[in-house]
Formats: sequence, C-alpha cells, structure tokens
Amino acid sequence: MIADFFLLRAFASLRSIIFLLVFFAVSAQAEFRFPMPEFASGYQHLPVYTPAPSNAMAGWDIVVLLAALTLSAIFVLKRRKRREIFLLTLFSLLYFGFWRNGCICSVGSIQNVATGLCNPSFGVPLTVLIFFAAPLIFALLFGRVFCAAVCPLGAIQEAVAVKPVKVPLALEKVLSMVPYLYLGLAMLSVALGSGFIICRYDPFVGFFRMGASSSLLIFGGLLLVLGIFVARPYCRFLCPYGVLLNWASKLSRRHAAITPADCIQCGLCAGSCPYNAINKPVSAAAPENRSRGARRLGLLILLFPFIVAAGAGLGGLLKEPLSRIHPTVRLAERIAGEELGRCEGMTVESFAFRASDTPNEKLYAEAVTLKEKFGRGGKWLGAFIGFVIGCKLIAVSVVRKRADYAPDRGTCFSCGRCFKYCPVKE
Amino acid sequence: MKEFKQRPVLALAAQSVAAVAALFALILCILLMADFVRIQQMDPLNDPHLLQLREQLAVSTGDNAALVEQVRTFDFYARRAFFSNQEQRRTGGLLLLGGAAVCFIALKFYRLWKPELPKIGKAELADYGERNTLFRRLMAGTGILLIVAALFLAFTVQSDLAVVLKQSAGPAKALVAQEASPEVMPVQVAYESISNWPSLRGPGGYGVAHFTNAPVRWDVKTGEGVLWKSEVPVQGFNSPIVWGRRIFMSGADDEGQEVFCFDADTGTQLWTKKVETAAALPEVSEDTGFAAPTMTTDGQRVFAVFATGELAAFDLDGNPVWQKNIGVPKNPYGMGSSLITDGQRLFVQYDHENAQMVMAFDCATGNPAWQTPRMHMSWSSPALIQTGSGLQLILNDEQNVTAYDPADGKQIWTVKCLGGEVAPSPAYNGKGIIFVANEYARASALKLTAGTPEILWQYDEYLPEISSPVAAENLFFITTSAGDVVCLDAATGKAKWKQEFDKGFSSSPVLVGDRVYAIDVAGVVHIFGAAPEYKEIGTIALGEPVHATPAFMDGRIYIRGDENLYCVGK
Repeated sequence: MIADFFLLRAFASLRSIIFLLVFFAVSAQAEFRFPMPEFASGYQHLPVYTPAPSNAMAGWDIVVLLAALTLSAIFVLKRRKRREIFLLTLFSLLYFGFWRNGCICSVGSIQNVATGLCNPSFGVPLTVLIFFAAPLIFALLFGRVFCAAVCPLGAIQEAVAVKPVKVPLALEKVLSMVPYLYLGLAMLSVALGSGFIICRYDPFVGFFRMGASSSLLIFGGLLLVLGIFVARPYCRFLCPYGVLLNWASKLSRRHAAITPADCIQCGLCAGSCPYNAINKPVSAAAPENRSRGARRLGLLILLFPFIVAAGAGLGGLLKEPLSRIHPTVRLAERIAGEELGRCEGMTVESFAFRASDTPNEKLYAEAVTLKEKFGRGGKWLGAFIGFVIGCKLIAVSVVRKRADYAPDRGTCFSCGRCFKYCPVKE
Repeated sequence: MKEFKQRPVLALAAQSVAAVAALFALILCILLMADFVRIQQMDPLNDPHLLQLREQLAVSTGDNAALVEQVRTFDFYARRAFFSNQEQRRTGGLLLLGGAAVCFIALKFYRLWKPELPKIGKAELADYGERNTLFRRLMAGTGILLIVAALFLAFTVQSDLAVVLKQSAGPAKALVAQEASPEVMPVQVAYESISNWPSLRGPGGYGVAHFTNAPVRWDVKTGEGVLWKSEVPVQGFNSPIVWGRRIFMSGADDEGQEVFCFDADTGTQLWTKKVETAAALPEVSEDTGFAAPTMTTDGQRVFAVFATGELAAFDLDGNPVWQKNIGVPKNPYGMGSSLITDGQRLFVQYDHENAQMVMAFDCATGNPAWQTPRMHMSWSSPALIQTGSGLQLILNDEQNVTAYDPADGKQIWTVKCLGGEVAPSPAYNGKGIIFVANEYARASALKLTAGTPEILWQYDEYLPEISSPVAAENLFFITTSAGDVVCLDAATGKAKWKQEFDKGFSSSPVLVGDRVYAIDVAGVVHIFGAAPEYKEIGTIALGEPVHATPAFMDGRIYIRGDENLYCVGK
C-alpha cells in the first residue's frame, strides 16, 4: 500500500511537471507570429476574410444540452452509477469542450443575460438564454446535475482529479467567498461596458481551442495541476455561475441522496466526498444553548443592514482600481502616464490612439465619466459582498438538526462518488 | 462489494501504461521546451546576413537584380523554416496532449481496478456549535481581510490621469480667462531675447522682427548701404542667428560639420568649431544638405544640430559646453527642423521615420528635460508663442498642429488640419490666431480657445512648399515655391491680393513693422507693405541665390546667400 501511495505520488508529480511544461510550449505556439512579406512591387494584400458566424450547430447544441441534463439527472437520481455519470462527463468534455470549443457556455452566458438586462438594445439569442436558464431550472428540480456531468469546465477538472484530497473546511469556507466577488466584478464589468471578463479569463478554453495567451494557458494549467489533488478548484473557488447554481440547488425539489434507503449512519460516505459537501448528522443534544444562539442570531439580523451599508461605503472607495477594468480608462491612464513621462514608449493601444488623432481631452473626459460610474458601481458591488457575508453569518448561526449523513444541497456537485461507499442498497 | 474488488494484474498493467505514457509525454515536453527556447532566441528578420544584404541593396545603384534575388531567397528560406517548425511543434503538442490523455486514462483505470477501500471519516470538530462559531469567526475574518484589501487598493492605486487633469486645470482656467477677456495678453518674452535674433525667423520663430527700422534701399554692386560682406566657409541652408554683436551659423558637407561665428560689426570670422561625430553620414537630398537646421541661442550658449543627429552646444566664444548624438534622423530628405529655446530648455523636433518625438534638453547641461512621443513626420520647425496661459510650443507635422507645454512637454491641444510632407512652420499674429499652411494640404487659421483651437477658416489656392507663412495683426502672407505671394484676410481667409514673381521662395518672409521682406531663390529681396492692397516698397537683387531667412536687428539685415553673408544697414 505504501509503495502504491508513493508510486501514485510520483506519477502525480510527473504529471504536474508535464502539465507545466506543456503549457509553456503551447504558449509559444500561440503567440509567435511571422510578419507578412514586404513587397516592393506594388502587390496588394488580399483583404482579410472573416466568415460570417454560423448558427448551424446552435439547434444541436440545445438538443445535446437538454439531453445531457436529462441523462445526468437520471444517472444521479435514478441509476446512481458513478461510472455512467463519469462517462457522460467525458462526452460533455469532448462535445461542449473540444468539439464546440467551449462556446456557448452556461458560465459565460450570465454576462449575455446581464448585458441584455442592462442594455435593452442588446439582443440575447435564444440559444444563449437556454444555456443560461436550463441548468438553473434543472438545478431547481434535481440539484447541480449540470455540474455533475454537463459543464465542460467541470468535466476537464473531473478528468484530472486522480488523487483528490480534502481541503480543510475552514479554508473552504474562506475561499467560498471568491466566486461571489468574481460574479460581482463580472456584473459590474458588463453593466459598465468593460467586456465579458468571465470569458476573457476562462482558464480552460485555451485547451479546448488549442491556443490562447501564454498567461491564460499557464493559469489554466496550474488549475488542472491543482485539480489532481484539489478536485474542481475552478468550480469551487471561482465559478460565478456556480453561485447561481448553488442558490437554485438549495431550493431543489429533488436532490441526489447518498443512501437509497434509510441511512444507517455508518459514516463510510463522509470520507468519499472530496468537496466537503456531505453534512454529518447533528444530534439533538449537540446544538448550543438556544437562548444564546437566538440572541446572536437577532444581533446578526440587526447588524445585517449595517454590514451591507459598510460594504457599499467601502466599495465606493474602490473607484480607481475598479475602473481599470474598463479599456478606455486603462488607455486614458496610459496616455496620461506617457504624457507625464512615467511610462516609457507606447503600447499598441496608445500608439493606435495617437494615430487616430483623437484629442487627449476627449479620452480623458470619457475616462472621468466612467470612473464616476465605477464609483457608483463599486458601491453596489460592496453592498452585494456585504449582503453575502451577512447572509453567511446568519446561515451559520441558525441551528439546524440533522438526523442522517446528507449532501449539502448548495455545494454538492452530484458527482456520485459517495454512492458506492454506502453499504445500504435498494 | 463488487465496487471494491481488487484486480492487481490489470492495475499493474494500467500503472505500466501510465508510466510509459508519462515518460513519452515528458520527453516530448522537454523537446518542445528546447524548441521554445530556441524560437525565443530567433529573430529571422534581423538576421545579420539579411540585414547586410538589405544594406547592400539600399546603397546599390543600377542593376541589382542578383541582390534582390538573394534577399528573396533568404526570406523564403526563413519563412519555410518557420512554417515547417510550426507544423512540427503543432504535431509535437498534439502528441504531448495525447500522451497526457493516455496517462490520465490509465490512471483512472488503475483507480478502477485498485479502488481505495472506504474509511470512516474522522470528525473534524466534536461540537456543532464550536464548528459554527469557527465558521462565524472565519467569515468575519474574511470580511476584515476584504476591508483591508479594499483599503489597500483604494489608497495605493494611483491615477496618472488625475495628475494630468490637475496640472491642466491651471492653463485651462487661464485660457478660459483669456476667452472671456477681449484683450489678448501681449507677447511677453524677455526683452533681451526679443531684441536679438535668437532662432530661425526671429524671437519665437514665427517671423516677426522686433526692430522695425530695417533699410529698404541698398545696392550690392556699388556697395551702397552694404556694411560688409563675408564669405561663408562651409555650405549650409540654415539661417543666421544674432546675439549682441555676434552672428552664428553652421555648415556641413561630407568632410565635416562646423559652427562659425562672425563679428556683426565687421563681418570678421571670430571662430570656427568642428563638430565631430561617430555617426555615418545619412542619405540627404541636395535641397536639404547636412546643415539645414538653423542654430539657436539662449544668450549664453549657441546650439546646433546636423543631419547626423549630432547636437552640440558652445559658449559664445566657441568653447564646447556639451555635445550628444540624438540619433541619426531617417527620412527621404534629411534633418530639416531648426532648434529653438525658451532660455532654459532647448527644444528639438525629431519627427522622422525611425522615431517621432519632441525633446527638451537643459540648455546648461544638455541633460534631457522631457521627451514627448509624436505620431507623424515633419521637416517643419517649432515656434514658441506667448498665450494668455503661458508659452506654448507649436509643432507642425504631416497631419496636425500640436501645442506642448514647454515646461513639461505635456500636449495641450492638437488640431488635424495639415497634410503632405510639411516643411513650413507656424505663424502667429500675437492676437490669438495661429496660421499654418502646406502645399498639397490647406492653409488654416486656428483661433486659440480654452481647449482645442477652433479652425476659423481654410484656404487652398496658393500654398507654400518650403517657406513659412507670416502673420501681421489682421493679414496673413504666403510665399510659394512658384513665386506667388498671397495676402489673406486674417478674419475670413479671403485673398486680399496676389502678386507673381519670376522666382520661387525657399526663404521665409519676415514682418518688419508695416513691411514684409521676402527673398526669392535668385536672391532678389522683395519688400512690400503689410497692407490689404499690394504696395511695392523695394526690389533689390543680391546677385547670388538665397535659401536662408534673413535676420533683422537694429537698423540692419543679415542675409546669408549660398556663398556670402551680407550685412545691410549702418
């Protein structure tokens, strides 16, 4: 056993090295460019041909998505077979990931929908709307079956999770704030026209498309290397769509159960979940002093509006750093830096701007207006984070009784790892 | 339980496959890494051999088909090597991904055939209440961490834009004040500078003389009205500058670069200094030569720049103060922009193919004061104008007229109204209107405002190619390379009059009180009234070609002909 353990460790280390090296090599391939030949004979370069976007596969994508969600729900709730869930995961990785190049993606669709809400002139295609809504509806009905076997981002991480270890629960709780921050930033970015940052920083799309910036490939590679030991790091500690799925899944009508019948409280399943998503029974004797708990809960509910207000106030102070998300503000800062002599040379953007002969004052005025908007947006972001912290504080102060080992409906990915560990069979 | 059935043989097989796949992937990875490092070091377009071939091609004349073919062949091989390599790397990358995939699949099977047996999970915390207390503390700690991070970001992220806007608030307010006031502030430059001729086209470099008592009659043949005449030692198209009793000019040919000083009273050559350079002589056109830029002086030092990019400072007695090379300008004609100074800083307009920028150097030390990037080429020279909000350094280029703050190089405004290869410099009427013109573009009158100047009008008939326009208070004058002189109304841009002469103008006209002096390329000085109707005051031939702009001092005119320097007056 010890020999096996070390052998597995050795493999894991080897894989880690391979991953890192692969990503450096692929990044070189992605960024190296050979300039066009110089012609002195008056040769006219052919215009760049950009084919019109095709929606030919959109209908199929919807069909496959709905079919995969249905199958996933069946595998998780009815058949309870981890192997079948995993095979569907691999199919989703190949189809939604490598075949469809990771787009359309439900995770990124939040931004389209948010843009549509902020800007009525922005049309949200039906396909995108379905990709956004279908996983949420399924989560409301059956839990996170989308995460279980349909999401290509989850699938690629699931494929590399060979030796998952448990993250300390305390660290898990702290890191669980990050997706909320990311979601808030993404919404702010969309609302103020700064672009789709979830897509821009999608760590795995570079692998699906066999090319991306070196920094993004390295980031994705590091996440996959981490994913060998810490299962699904992106899903758990970054995914903004996971926040919505978490909320929906908490309200789910049916959810994956560890045991098909009565739990005998053997505790065998508790060690099987790498996501810390199995809640242990809480006996009647365990809950703390009720009156003390009630006072604390009351105090937290009273403090709640102040936490939200403090978050809003603090967010308002972040006008400067937040505004750098917007390319216009970044360009204005760059031009200003060049004018002050604090930046050497020119970037591609500042060069293009200067070539356009647009007066600096116009750019500066736009940037100042945007900064004011980011000041207001920062308040909303801060209030949202304050709201989340307040809710989490209240949530852990509510005393709940639990008789059996049960999956946490919010964080459980319905991966089915725990099924085989339950000795109770139908 | 069959899920936990151990299959040691199959597990061993899967383990072996995983090991082989991992080794395969690792080897491929090392090879790709080595290739990556090699590619990072590759620079096929700057290969010494290719550069050498290109240099040979650049200097070759006549039939160079063989050389062209060599360059093409070299370029072809470089591209073929690149694309072959790219294909190899792509294949390597795919094999590598395949190897990694096999490794992971084998490991998954290993796990399947040798599953971990279930263990009873150990309780992390004995008490539910204790656990929730810890979670509350953690959440509160996370909140505090976020507050600290937010405060850190809020107070450490600095905005250059805020600094720029703060700085520009002053001049902007001043310009607003200027806008509100009917009286435009008069030009305020030190009297010492005004009463000399410190740069091309006089104080400020926009062609208006301080002294208005220049002679209107003289005769070179008889010597009447000519105080002296001295031979120019080395050819150059730059114009004389004058400080006190000394005249400074430069000259250069393929044998060297020189700065020389004449006694303004006698025409005696006081000193000549060589300006050595390690830079190779660039290709220049005959019309420009190696010493087209006019010198400038701050009253303590004189400054010269040459086509080699050599920038040199001497004191008034010819002792070297500092010297540097600002880079050999690369353009089809050569360095054309003249120097100008505000007394503290020396300004160099460096708009060439290799770089476009305006630079300022400390006059005393030559240390860079600031440098501002620009976008287009130019052969024009800068002008320094006094506005209500302070001095502005005005530069023309192939597209724009742009103003900079001489103190820090910050762009104040820019207006897109020029075109073509611009050599003429800006004119200024001292009443808030800048006037620019260039052949193949248009003439434009720009009214200074609190922000970007407003284009009052544009004119596109008779336009200058080399000589710069000049502005009187209500009239603008253009002299063209075809020999036309046009007078435009400053308010409307309507032509008041047009006069045709036999020869064209390279030298720029100068406003001297109520008269304009313009010298054509044949060396004929045309003196006419700065008035809405054409009125000839004098026409005097020097007897030799003139391309330089004359310098006007108290009762005297210093004219540089192609071979001689003349002092006209008393």
